[in-house]
Amino acid sequence: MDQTASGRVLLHADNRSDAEAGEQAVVAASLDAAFYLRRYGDVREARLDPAAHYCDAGWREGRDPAEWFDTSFYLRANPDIWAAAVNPFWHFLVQGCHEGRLPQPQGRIWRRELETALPPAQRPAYWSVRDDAPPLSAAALGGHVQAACCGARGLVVALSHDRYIEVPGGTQLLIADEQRKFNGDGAVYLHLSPVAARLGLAPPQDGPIWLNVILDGAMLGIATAEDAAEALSALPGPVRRLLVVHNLHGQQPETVVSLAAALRPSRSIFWVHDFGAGCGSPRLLRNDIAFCGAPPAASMACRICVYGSERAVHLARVDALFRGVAFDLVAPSAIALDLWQRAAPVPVASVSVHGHAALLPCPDSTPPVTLDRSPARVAFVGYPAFHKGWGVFRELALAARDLGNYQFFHFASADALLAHDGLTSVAAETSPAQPFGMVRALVAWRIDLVLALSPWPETFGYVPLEAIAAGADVVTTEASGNAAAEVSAAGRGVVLADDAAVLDWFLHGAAARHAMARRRDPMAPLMLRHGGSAATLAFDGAPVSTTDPDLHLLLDGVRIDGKRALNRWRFRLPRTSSESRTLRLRSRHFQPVWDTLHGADTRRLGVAVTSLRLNGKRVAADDARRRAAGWHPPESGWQWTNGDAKLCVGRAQRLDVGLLPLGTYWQAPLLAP
Amino acid sequence: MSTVCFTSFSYSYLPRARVLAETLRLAHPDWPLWAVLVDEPPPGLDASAALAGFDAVLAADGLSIPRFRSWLFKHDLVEACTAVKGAALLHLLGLGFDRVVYFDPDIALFHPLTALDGAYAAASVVLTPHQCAPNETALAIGDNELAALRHGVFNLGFIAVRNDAPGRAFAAWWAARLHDACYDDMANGVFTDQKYCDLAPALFANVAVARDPGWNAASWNISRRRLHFTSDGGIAAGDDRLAFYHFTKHGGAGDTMTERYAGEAHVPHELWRWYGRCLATHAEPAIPPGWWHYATFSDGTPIPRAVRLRYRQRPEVMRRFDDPFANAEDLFASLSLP
Repeated sequence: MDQTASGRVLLHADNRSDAEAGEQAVVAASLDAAFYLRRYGDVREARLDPAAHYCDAGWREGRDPAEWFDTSFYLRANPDIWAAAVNPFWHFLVQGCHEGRLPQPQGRIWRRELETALPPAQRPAYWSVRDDAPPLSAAALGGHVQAACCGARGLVVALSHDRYIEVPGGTQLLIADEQRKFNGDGAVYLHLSPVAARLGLAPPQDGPIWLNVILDGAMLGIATAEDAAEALSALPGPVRRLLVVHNLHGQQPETVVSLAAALRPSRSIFWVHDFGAGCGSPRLLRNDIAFCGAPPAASMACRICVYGSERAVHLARVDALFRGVAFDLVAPSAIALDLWQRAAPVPVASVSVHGHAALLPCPDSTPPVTLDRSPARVAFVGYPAFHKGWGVFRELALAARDLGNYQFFHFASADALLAHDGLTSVAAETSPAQPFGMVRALVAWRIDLVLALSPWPETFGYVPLEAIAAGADVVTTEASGNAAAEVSAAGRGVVLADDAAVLDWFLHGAAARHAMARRRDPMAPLMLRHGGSAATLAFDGAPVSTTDPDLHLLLDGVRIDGKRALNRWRFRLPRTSSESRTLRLRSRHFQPVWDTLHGADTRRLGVAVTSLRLNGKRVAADDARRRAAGWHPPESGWQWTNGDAKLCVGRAQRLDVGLLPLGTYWQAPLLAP
Repeated sequence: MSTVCFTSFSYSYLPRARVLAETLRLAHPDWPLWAVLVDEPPPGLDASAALAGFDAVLAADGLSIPRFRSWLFKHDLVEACTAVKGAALLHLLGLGFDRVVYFDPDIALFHPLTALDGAYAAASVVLTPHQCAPNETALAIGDNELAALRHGVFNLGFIAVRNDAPGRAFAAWWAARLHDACYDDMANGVFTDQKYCDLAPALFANVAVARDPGWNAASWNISRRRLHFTSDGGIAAGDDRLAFYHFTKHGGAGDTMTERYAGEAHVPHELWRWYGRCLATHAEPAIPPGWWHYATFSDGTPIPRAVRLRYRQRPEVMRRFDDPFANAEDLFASLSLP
C-alpha cells in the first residue's frame, strides 16, 4: 500500500491572504506569552509582541509558541504543511487538531530514552583514574592488606561498580555503612571497583581489568585483577574472610571467580541491589523504557531489545560465576529476591531477605495537626532520571501547575537539581555525614506527598521510607516493586495502577483532598533506622551488637589481650628500653547513634575511656604526648577513642584501662568463628 | 503440507530481505524462502555471498516471461518488483509445492502464522486487508481508509496460495493481469498488483480474508491495533500473537506515519527502532545507494519515468525493441522523444 504522508491541506497558502488578518489573533489566543518571553530572551529584550513575533518569524525559526507545541516536529511530521509553508501553530489550531494531527511527539516521557538506548557493547566505558592512585603490584597490595589484617578479626573483600567513597548514591552509602560496621567489629574492608566504569559486564576480551583499591575507606591505588588475586592468595593466617559482591557492573565474572579462589572466603555474599546479574539492563527496562519482567533470553521481547542480543552470553558468564563461587544470595526485599531469581536462574548456596532500613515507632512524639489550607506540597526526591519516574513527575507538574491546588518541589543534591518552570528546587541529600539530610529537608519544607514512580520494581526503595519518616505520604504505582510494598505496609500513601492513574489522581483533585485530610488527621511519626548490609547479616539469628568491646592491644603486629574485671582491663606489656614505644589500643566500635533520626553524632567511636594508667600512674586526659592519635576531645569523665587509638606507653609494663559501661558495640555475625 | 515462501526485490532492498529471511527462519524453520531478484548485482558485489541467507534465488529473467527486457522496460522499480510476483507464484506452484506464501521484503516475522494451518488451512487464497477496524479521526480516515480505496483493500505484502484448483486459477489470473499492466496508474483504477485483488473474493472460490490483528500490522492499521508484550516475552496485537509486521517506508514516510498512528504506545516505536538496527546490521556496503540495474540504459543514462510511460502506451514500439535498454537514441526516436 502506498500510504503517503501527504494528508490533506485544506487551507492552502494561496488562501492565506484571506486568513492572514485572523492568523495572529488565532495564534495570540493560544500562545503562551509568558513561556515565549521566558524562553526567547531576544524577543523579551526587544519588547516584541510574542504572537506577532511567532507569526512573522518565530515559526520559521523553529521556535515553539507553548510548551505543548513543537513547531519543528509539526512541520517534520506533516510534510504537507511544510510544503504549503503555512504557520504550523495556526494550522494546528484551526484545522490540525480537528484532524487528529499531533502538536508534539508522542511519548514525551520515554522518547528520549528509547532513542538513545544502545546495546551495552556499543556503550563506551567511562575511565576514571584518580591522580593520587598509584599502580600497585601484587606484592605492594599484599603488603598493605597484610599490615591492615594484623590483629584484625577478619577480612572482607567487597566488589561494586565505583569508588563508593566519592560517588553519592544509595548503593554507595550502603557500602560505606557496611565498611564502617565491619571496621567496627575489627574487620578489614578491602573494596575493589573497576577503573573503567560501565553498565553491564566488562567484556572478557578486554583482558584483566584494572581495579580501584580502597582499604578501610581510604584510596590505596589501582591494581590489575590478576595482581589483586595474587595478593589475596598470598595472605597468611587463619583470619576469617568474606567476599561481598554488591554488583557486577564493569566487572568480569571470570575475574571474580579468580578473586574468590584466591581469597578462599568462608562465606560469599551476593547482594541484589538490581537485576544486572540477569541482564545488561540492570533495571530490566526493555529498550530502557519499559519493565520487561525478565522473560526468557530467547523471547521476542529480548530479541527486539537493545540488551537482548547480548543477554544469552551475559547469562552464561554469570552462570559460570555462580557455579564457580557458592554465593549466599541476599536481597533487601522478597519482591527483589523473587524477580532476581527469575531473571538469573543460576545456582545459589542460599537465599535470604535482609532489608537496608526500617521504620520504627517514634516513642516520644505526637503528630502535628494543622488546619493549613495552602496548596498540597508535592515532591520528587532524588536524581531526576527516567528510571526514577522523573518524566511522569515533570508531566504532572506541567499539567497541574495552573490548577492552584498543588505546589511542586524537587529535592536532590545541588548538582542534580534541574531548573524548571513551576518547580521549587531544594538542595538536600543523604550522606554519611548527614544520614537524615533528606528527611530533615522534607520535614522543613512541610512536604505532604512524595512521588515514587520508578517504572521498574525497585529492589528496596529508600525514598518512600525517608518520605514516611518525614511525615509525608507516598504516591506510587504497582510497577514500583518494593516501594509499593513499603507504602502498603506502612499505610502511608496510595499505590495506583499506573502513571496514567497518577496523573488522573492529581488532575482530578483527589491528591489535594488526600493531602488536606492527612493534615487534619496526621499519622504518628515513624523513625527510620539505617543500615542493613552484609555487616548486619546473620544466617543464624546472631545479634548485631555485643557488650564485649573486644578491647586489645596491638604491639609490633602482635595482639595482646588483657584481663577484664567488670569495666577495667589490665594488660601486661613486654619489657623494652624504648621511651617512645607506642602501641594501638583497639576495640570494637560503639554502636553509632547516627543510626536513628534523633542522633546527630556521626563520629567514629570506639570505647569511652574513663581512666588510663601506666604502671599504676594516671595518664591525664590532656596528655597529648601519650594519647598520640585516635582520641576524640575529652568529655566530662571520659574520652572516646576511634577504635584504633595510638598510645605511647614507653617502658611501662602494665596498662590499666577503665571504660564507661555503655553496653553495645558492633558485631558482624558473619565474622563469628 | 509443503510450504515455500518467496519475496521479490532489487539489491537496494537486500538488507530488508535479509531481515525477512532471518525472522522467517526463526518463526518457520521448515519454510524455505526463495529470493526473486529483479536486478543485476552492482560491480564488486559477490552475489552468491550476498544472497547466502536465502534457500534459493530466482532471477526475474528466468521466470519464463517472454521478451523479458522489453517487458521489464515498462516498469519502474516498484512496479517491476511487483509485476514478477504473479510469474514467480506460478513458477513455484508448478514445482509442486502445496502452498506458496509471498512476503514483501520489508516484512519481519515475530511469531509463527499458526492460523495458516488452523483457521485458514482449507483456504485456497489468503489475503490480509489494510484495515480491519474503522478509523475515527479525519486524518486517519484520509490516510488509511481513503488510501485503501485508492491503493487496494488488501495489502499484497502478503498472500498465501494453495496449490489447488481455485488457488491455481487465482494465480493464473493474477499473473496475467500483472504481466499486462502492473502499474501505478490509479487514474485508471490500477495500483500495481493490489487493486486487482479487490476482485479476488468475488472472482474466485475459497478466498479467505485474514482479519487477524497479528497479521500484517503496519503504520496504516496500528491506530486500531494495540501492540503489547505478553508476560512470557511474546509480542501481541490485541488478543493475537503478532505474526508479522510490515515496515513500509522505514526511514521515509513510514517514520511519519508511525509517529502519527502509534499514539502513546511505545511498542510500535520499539519495533520501528529495532528494525532500523536490523537494517544497519544487514547493510551491504558494496551496494551503492539507490542501486537498480534497470534504472538506466546500458550506457548509464537514467531512464525517466516519462519514457517508460510513453513506451508502455506504444505496443508497436514495444514489439520492435527486444532490448530497449540497449539503444536509448533509437528508442527515443521511436517514441518521438527529444
